[in-house]
Amino acid sequence: MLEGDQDQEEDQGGLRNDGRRAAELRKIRVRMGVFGQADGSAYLEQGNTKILVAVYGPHQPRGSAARAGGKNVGGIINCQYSTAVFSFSAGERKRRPRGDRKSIEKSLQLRRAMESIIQLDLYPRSQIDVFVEVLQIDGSEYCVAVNAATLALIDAGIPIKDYAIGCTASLIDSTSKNDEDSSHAAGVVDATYMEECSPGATLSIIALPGSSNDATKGLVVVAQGAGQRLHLSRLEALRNRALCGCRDIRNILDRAVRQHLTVHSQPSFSTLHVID
Amino acid sequence: MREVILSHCEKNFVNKAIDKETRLDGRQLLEARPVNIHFGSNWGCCIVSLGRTKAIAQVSCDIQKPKASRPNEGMLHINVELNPMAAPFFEAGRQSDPSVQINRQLERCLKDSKCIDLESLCIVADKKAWNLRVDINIINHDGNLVDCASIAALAALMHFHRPDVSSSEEEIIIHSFAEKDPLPLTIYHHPVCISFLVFENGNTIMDPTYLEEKVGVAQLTMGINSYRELCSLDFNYLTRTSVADVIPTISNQAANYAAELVSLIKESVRQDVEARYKKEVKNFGRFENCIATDKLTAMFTDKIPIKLSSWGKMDDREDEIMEDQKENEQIIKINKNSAELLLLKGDLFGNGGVNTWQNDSSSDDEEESSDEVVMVEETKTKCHVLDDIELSEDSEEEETQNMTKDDIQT
Amino acid sequence: MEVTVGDVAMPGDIIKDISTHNTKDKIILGPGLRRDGEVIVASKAGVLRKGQSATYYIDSYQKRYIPNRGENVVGIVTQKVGDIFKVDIAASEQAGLSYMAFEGASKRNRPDVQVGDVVFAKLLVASKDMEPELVCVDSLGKKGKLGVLSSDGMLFTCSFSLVRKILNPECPLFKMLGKEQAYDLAVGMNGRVWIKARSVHETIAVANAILAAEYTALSEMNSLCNRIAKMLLQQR
Repeated sequence: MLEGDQDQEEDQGGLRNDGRRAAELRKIRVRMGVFGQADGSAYLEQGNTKILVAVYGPHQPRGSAARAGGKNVGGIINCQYSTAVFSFSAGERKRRPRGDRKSIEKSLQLRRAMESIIQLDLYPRSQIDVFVEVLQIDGSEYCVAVNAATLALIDAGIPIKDYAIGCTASLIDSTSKNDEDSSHAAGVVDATYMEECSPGATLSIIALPGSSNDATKGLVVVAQGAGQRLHLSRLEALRNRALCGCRDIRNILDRAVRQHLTVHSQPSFSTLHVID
Repeated sequence: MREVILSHCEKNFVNKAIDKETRLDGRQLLEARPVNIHFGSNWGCCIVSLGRTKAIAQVSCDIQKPKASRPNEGMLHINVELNPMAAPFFEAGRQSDPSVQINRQLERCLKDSKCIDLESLCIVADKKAWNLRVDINIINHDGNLVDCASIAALAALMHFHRPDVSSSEEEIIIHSFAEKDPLPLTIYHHPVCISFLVFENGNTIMDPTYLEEKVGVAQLTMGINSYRELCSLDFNYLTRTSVADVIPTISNQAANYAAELVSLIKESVRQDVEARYKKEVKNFGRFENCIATDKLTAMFTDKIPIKLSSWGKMDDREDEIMEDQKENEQIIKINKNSAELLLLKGDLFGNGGVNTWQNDSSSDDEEESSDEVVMVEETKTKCHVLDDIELSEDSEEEETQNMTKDDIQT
Repeated sequence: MEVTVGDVAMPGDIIKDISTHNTKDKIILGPGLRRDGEVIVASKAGVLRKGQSATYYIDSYQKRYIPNRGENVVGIVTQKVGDIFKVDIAASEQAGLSYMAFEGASKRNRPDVQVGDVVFAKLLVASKDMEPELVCVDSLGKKGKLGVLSSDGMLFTCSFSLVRKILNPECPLFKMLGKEQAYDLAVGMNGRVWIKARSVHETIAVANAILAAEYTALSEMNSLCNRIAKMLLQQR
């Protein structure tokens, strides 16, 4: 996949700080159905970013969300994105888990992403709650949260259109011009905290990758760019890199979900699956 | 107060119009509304209008202890206020979803892109640094609040001057404006937000109005500076839909418009700042200028939210028509002293040409009931053309008119 | 200051004409006028007008609707609550519209009205203490021109002074526009106008003409219509 590895422009031989290649994801660990009380739940680890999600619903609308959207014909989705106060690896403590602008913004975008996959017209006048708790931050936490929420929705048995998959692509140093042909020029996927903080730019994409093999055909639902400056000509490559990452994550999660279903389903059901 | 719900017919109509590449206010799909910037009497105070969307920005500064994580940098705070003054459905004093979204978009566009040299705002490392605060108040909501707020914030920051300080050992002296001239901020690059809206059929428009925002299905905001560099990006589905993202197709347009917009902001800031340096009290901005109008009918076009694309450009149009006619006409000399004005064949009505008859008769009507303000221009051009014809006798023009009409009739 | 009919009156101005009238005559004070002891005082800014007999009112610029019995309004259906539809008529309160208030409606045969539809209805009840109530039929049970408006049209808002101006029988605007374009129109006294013309362009043109009429004198309507017609031709 990576031909540019030969040129040893850095002492790391084209590898990133944690030893990954540019288009390589971090290790993903999935656990579904972790809570008894929730209708659906999932725990997802991408490297050191660790996230728990619980899904309740569909149930009768209540609370502020009901008042705001009570007259909607379709259902409503209530998302809460909270970051644990101990989640920073550097030993800093966050003052409040939620209620700051960044958390509100992330809740809003999480809701947008969930709205794009859940078939809300099936649940008129009902509410679906998605609670996200970020346990540890090491980059790409918003994207991992979306992935985990998707898994929790699947666990809750709520019909969805497609996996909503989030992936970041980061251009570590957008100012350097000399590495045009190296593999890092198109950005690195699944950025860690250090890579996000570097003076480059990070593009977070939530996409519905679909089942097609062409990654660039994925439907982008939410895209968000942050960081410093990025020349427009490099945007397209970065976007494609992120979409490739989305497809890879989808394949991994898909396998995990299948495994989870085979292990936890009725004996009669699993015997059917043994065939393949 | 709850927002009035969108009726089916508004939604259908806007979608139909966008299908036909028309917009209710007569703009092209990728055309922004006119931007007006007026500065207030203080440094760093401005009012920006984007069509009928209006925002006021004010930059203020004070001295604070810098953050522990960045001991040698000043701070920048951005706060966008959406209160019921802008639109009745905004709630006062609460962090509502739209206000958080606009705030974060501006923070990413202006703060994270490091367009302001914060290091120069540090006075004593780890002890004292300037804390800049940009307050943006939206005062009228007609769609695209982000762009309007970002223009206001950028213009206010570029216009702002902070007092000079001198530090000696333990003491810091802040000089008043009378003692030492105030200093402008150092700005490395000028990012502005440019917003787009995607409709169900995949068409994209720039700078949406309030009604269009209610109908559109996905929105895109790009923070771009004049060097075609992307500083922030936001793409969101507003409703459940499946339109493709339009980032690759319109990014070029966004970059071009951003460059235009930035040079407009720079120019208006430069003019005002220079006038202040030279102490030309008359020239520099006061808010009263933004409502003072030079014509009695200045508000006329402003107050019509639904218009044809040629509305308001009518004066120019009239000229164009006259010019067209001039080109189509040919002067044929019959006698020494007379000239005939004929329309060139092949361009006539019915042969794919313009319906000159309609134009003629209606412009005649207009002349009779001469509408003072609008039509002055038109009568002038008419005279101008007549002058051209008047090669010989004065009774010529009536004859010409007859000839053309006969010509059409045959 | 004292003003007479036809003048611009400001709030607090004393109306000279009326206070000098003989007390035996019956005088009707319309909107914007108030009696303060012996004198009549204006309470709105606008032009003082005299209607038939001794009816006086102030013709002012206003955008917020105050329901009046018997007026036709254009409203948007916002909610279905049991047997009534809630209709937004741009007033302080939503109006009720019973599903029985449609032509030919019965318990079996309910009218097909969806949330988001636009209705043209008459105000049956409008009092300051009660929720306004709308009907889409006249006293004979016929719908006449009232009812649900097609969703192919377009809806826009304008000021009440413009509504009064264009609905005045002396205003030639609609007739002149009708010479050039065919269109359906519903003008509500609540400042909402619904139009439907043959194409998008024509609809916008008609809307443009109506909105521009606010700033056009009656004698200049002709030139306005010609201008609109000409612009439409150019765009084709």
